[in-house]
Amino acid sequence: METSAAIEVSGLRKTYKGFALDIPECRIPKGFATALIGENGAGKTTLLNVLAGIRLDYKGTIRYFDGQETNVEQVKERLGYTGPGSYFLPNWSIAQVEEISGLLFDTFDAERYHRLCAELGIGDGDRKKKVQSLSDGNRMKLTLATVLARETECLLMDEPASPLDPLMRDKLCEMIRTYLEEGDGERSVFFSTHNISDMENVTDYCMIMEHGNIVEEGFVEDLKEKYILVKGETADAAKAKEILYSFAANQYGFEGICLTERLDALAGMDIVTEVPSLFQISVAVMRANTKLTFSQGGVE
Amino acid sequence: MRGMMRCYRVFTGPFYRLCVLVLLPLAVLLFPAAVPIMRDYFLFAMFAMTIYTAYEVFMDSWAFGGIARREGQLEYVKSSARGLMVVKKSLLGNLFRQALTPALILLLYGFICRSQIEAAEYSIDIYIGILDLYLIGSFFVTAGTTAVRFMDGVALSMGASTLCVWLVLFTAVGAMNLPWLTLCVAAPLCVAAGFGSVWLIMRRVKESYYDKKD
Repeated sequence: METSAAIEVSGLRKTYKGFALDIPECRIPKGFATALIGENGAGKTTLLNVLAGIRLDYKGTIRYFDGQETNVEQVKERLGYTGPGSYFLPNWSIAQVEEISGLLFDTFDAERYHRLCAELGIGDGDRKKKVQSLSDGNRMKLTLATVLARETECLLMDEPASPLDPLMRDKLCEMIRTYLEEGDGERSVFFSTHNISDMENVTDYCMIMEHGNIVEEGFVEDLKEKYILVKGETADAAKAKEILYSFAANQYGFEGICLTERLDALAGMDIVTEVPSLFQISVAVMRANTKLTFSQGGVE
Repeated sequence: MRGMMRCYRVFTGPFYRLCVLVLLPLAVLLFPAAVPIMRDYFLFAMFAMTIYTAYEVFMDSWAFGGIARREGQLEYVKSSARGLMVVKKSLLGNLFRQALTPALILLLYGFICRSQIEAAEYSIDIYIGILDLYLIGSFFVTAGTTAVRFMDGVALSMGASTLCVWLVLFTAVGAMNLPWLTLCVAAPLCVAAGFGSVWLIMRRVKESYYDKKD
């Protein structure tokens, strides 16, 4: 599917203390929600920080909004970045966050901010409550409220779902869908996540990262055609293990992800196939590229 | 100036501003009413600058504490193209306010007790000495608040505040016999320290856009 790009990356390289982010080419499609999935330490936060202009020591070119702009300072008004951890000064109150947002961004809408704070139950209506007294979940909700109270064209969100409870994750998915629908194809969302199952229903495009590289990417529906979940009998486990992309076995049988193009190699085995979930595809790809060892299965 | 004060107001909370602009200066001004010996203008100036140093260094952590730490806590501000400008203006606004507050305390007390001061017939050296106290206090407040901005935690801020108070006292006592020399040294030092502090903090904030080099 040919799409225009919210952000295009060429020759991106960043090295830091034995870690190297190396992305020769990457396109975040415009008008879609893209999930960035990867192990801890894969480089997801680094990539998001570079795209948001919070980290400037890198080589390569980043083009924003169909190549209109390469200077991130010129597009920060149109980007909405959310991050974990040290995002606001801890002694700021909810009211102060509103004031500073008005100073920092032209399109910040205070009324929309109040509405979002009330909708998300931030601080239980107490605007004098300090950021440091909020729980991690409420702090993330405050972060979402500040960024959604602005007119932006691309949201860059670093693990927005991590500190949220399941109900709020569902709400987050709803907010992302509404954000994209209201943008009428002109808005994009790029978020990193470990909560693949929760975020799958809002994910259109997926990038899987390992060791600073993007090892797999594509629209979710295309990935679900590229990979297939195979289940079979214990008797065929040994032979299947050599073919499957990822493999797990127990006394009852085996299960694993296979590249659809290699399904013919399993001919003659008593297997059933299913459409894999994004979670299963991601884990299979990450297992194929990880330095972690597993007690059973995995790709040799 | 308006932009600077707006940025300063946004970075500092209302309770912090109430304390440093109203409550604490008022407490300092009213203290001589309870302790008659402090009604002497010079002694009042010594007391005022010492107390001012203590609370100003400690309370700076409420507004700007940790801002210069590499781990930053400024990701939201950095996500804006105007972020650095807002930080710089708020620091300059605070610098201006820090220079003005003790000057107003001393001038106001001088005005309130003008008849007493006229009756005391202080020599010019006393007035220069009071100016020296203002400059010494301001210098150590700048140094102390700069240090606090690299720290995180109430205990460290209290420690910095206490150290600055002792430094003000020792320097003031030591400089008492050389008021004119002290003025010539303290005045440029004070100005350099003020702008140097803003430059240093801004340099650290800019450095936080880059990973630490080994």
